[in-house]
Amino acid sequence: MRKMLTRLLIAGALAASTLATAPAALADEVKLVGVITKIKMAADGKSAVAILKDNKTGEAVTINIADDLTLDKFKDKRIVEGDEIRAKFDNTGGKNESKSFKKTAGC
Amino acid sequence: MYKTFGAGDDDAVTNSGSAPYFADRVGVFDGTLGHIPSSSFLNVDRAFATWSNIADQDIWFSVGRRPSTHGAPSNLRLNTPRPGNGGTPSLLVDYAFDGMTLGWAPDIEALPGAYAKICYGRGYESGFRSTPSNSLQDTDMLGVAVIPIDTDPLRVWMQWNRGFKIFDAPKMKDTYYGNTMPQTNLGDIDWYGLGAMGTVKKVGIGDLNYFADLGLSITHPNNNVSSQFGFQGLLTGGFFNPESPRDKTGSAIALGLRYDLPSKTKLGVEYNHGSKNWITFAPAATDMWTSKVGTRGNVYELYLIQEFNSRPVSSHLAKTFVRLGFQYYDFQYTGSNNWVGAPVKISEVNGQMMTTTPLDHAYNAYATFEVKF
Repeated sequence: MRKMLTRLLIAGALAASTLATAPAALADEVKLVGVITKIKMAADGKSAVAILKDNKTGEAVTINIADDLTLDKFKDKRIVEGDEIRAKFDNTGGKNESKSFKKTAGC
Repeated sequence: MYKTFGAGDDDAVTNSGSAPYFADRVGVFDGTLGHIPSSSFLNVDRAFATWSNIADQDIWFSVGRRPSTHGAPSNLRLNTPRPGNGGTPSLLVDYAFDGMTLGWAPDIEALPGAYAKICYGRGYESGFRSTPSNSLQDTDMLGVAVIPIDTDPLRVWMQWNRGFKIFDAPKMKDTYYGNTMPQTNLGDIDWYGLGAMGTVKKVGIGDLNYFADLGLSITHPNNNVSSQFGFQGLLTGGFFNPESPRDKTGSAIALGLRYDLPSKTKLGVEYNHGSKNWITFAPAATDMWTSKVGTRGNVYELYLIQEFNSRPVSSHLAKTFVRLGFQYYDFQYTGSNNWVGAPVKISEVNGQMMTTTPLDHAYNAYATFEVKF
C-alpha cells in the first residue's frame, strides 16, 4: 500500500512538473470556449476563418487561423462546425489572430 | 456483432473443443465482446458520459464503458483516427474496461496538445463480500497517462498501469475447460509504457507515419496458486509443479511505418518483440491467433489499406476501405498473453503438461472490407 502510494505520488509529481510550465499571458491575449458555427477556408488553403459562439456571452467571435496543424484538421474534418473549441487569440490591431485552437478535451 | 461465417459461437477461434492455443482465445469474456468472433448478439463496446470544462478549465471527468480498445498506435493498421484524449496505448491495454477517467489538458505553448489523466477500471466484480464463502476480491486497474505533446508530426506518451488482485481466469462459458470464472487472486502487475508516433508529410509523393512503443511489465505474485490451472501462480510454476512466488520483469518493443499515397493506398510494416516474462493486457486485439502485442517472441506484419471514394453519407467521418495483411508469429516462449504459470522456452518443450497447446510459429493472412458510418 505504501509502495503504491509512493508510486502514485511520483507519477503525479512527474505529471505536474511536465505540465506546469505555463508562460505568462500576453496583454492582448483572449481566451474563450465556444462552439464553431462556421468555418471558411481560403481558396488557397493557407488560412481560414472560424466563427465561434462564445459559451459565456452567446456572442459570435470571428477568429483568423493560419497555422498548418489546425488547417489540416479543418481539411480532413477532424474539426468541423458544431465542435466545441477552446480558443486563444491575439486581438491586437482589431483582428483576432489564433494562437491556439483545439477541441475541448474529454473522453 | 462479430461472428464467424457459418457459426454462432466462438468454437472456430478457440480450437473447436481441442486444447486452445492461447489464454486470450480460450473464450470470449467481458471486455473482448465484439472484438473476438462469437455470436450474432449486438454488443456494446463503448458507452460513456463526459463532463468537460470543469471549473472553466480544460478538465474532464468521464465514466462508463471506456474507449480502452484499439488505442494508439494500433489505429494505423486499423485505419482509424488517432484516439485523441481517449484511449490507452495498445501495447499495454486493449480491453473494454468499465471505469472512469479524470483528465486535464493545460494550455502550454511549448507543449502543444499536452494532457494528463488518471484512469480507473474494474476488471472483475466479485459481488457481495461474505467471507468465508466469498473471499475473492475485485480485480481493478489504475493508470496514469502523461502525454506531453500531441500534434500530427509528433505524439509522445508515458503510461503507468497497475492491475490489482489479478484473477486467475475470466468468466467464460462453454470453454475447453468448461465454465471458467475467477477463483483466486494471484497478485498485482505493474506496467510502464513509453512511446511516440507521428506523421512526416511529403516524403516523396506521400506521407510517412511512424511509431515506436516500449513496454515493461513487472509481476508481483502473492502466495496463491490457481487450483483450476494446475496450481500455477502469477507467472510462476508449471502445471502441477508450483514455484515459490517471485517478481518477474518482462519487456516489449513495437515499431511500425505506414506510407500513405495520394491514391488513398496505405502500405504498412510492423514488428514487435516480447521477452520471456512479458505480459500485457490486450485480449481485445483483433489478431485471430492471439493478441500480437502479447507475443513472447517476434511478430512481423505487412499490410495494405485501400480507401474508396464511395462512402456512406451518414457523416464526414464515414469511409469505406479494404485491408489486406499478413502476420508471421515466431514464438520463443510458451504462454503468450497468459499470466498463469511460468513461460517455457519453446525449444525446451518436451511433453510437459501445459494449460494451452504450445505453438512454435504461426501465420495469419487477413482481408477485411470495412464501412465506417
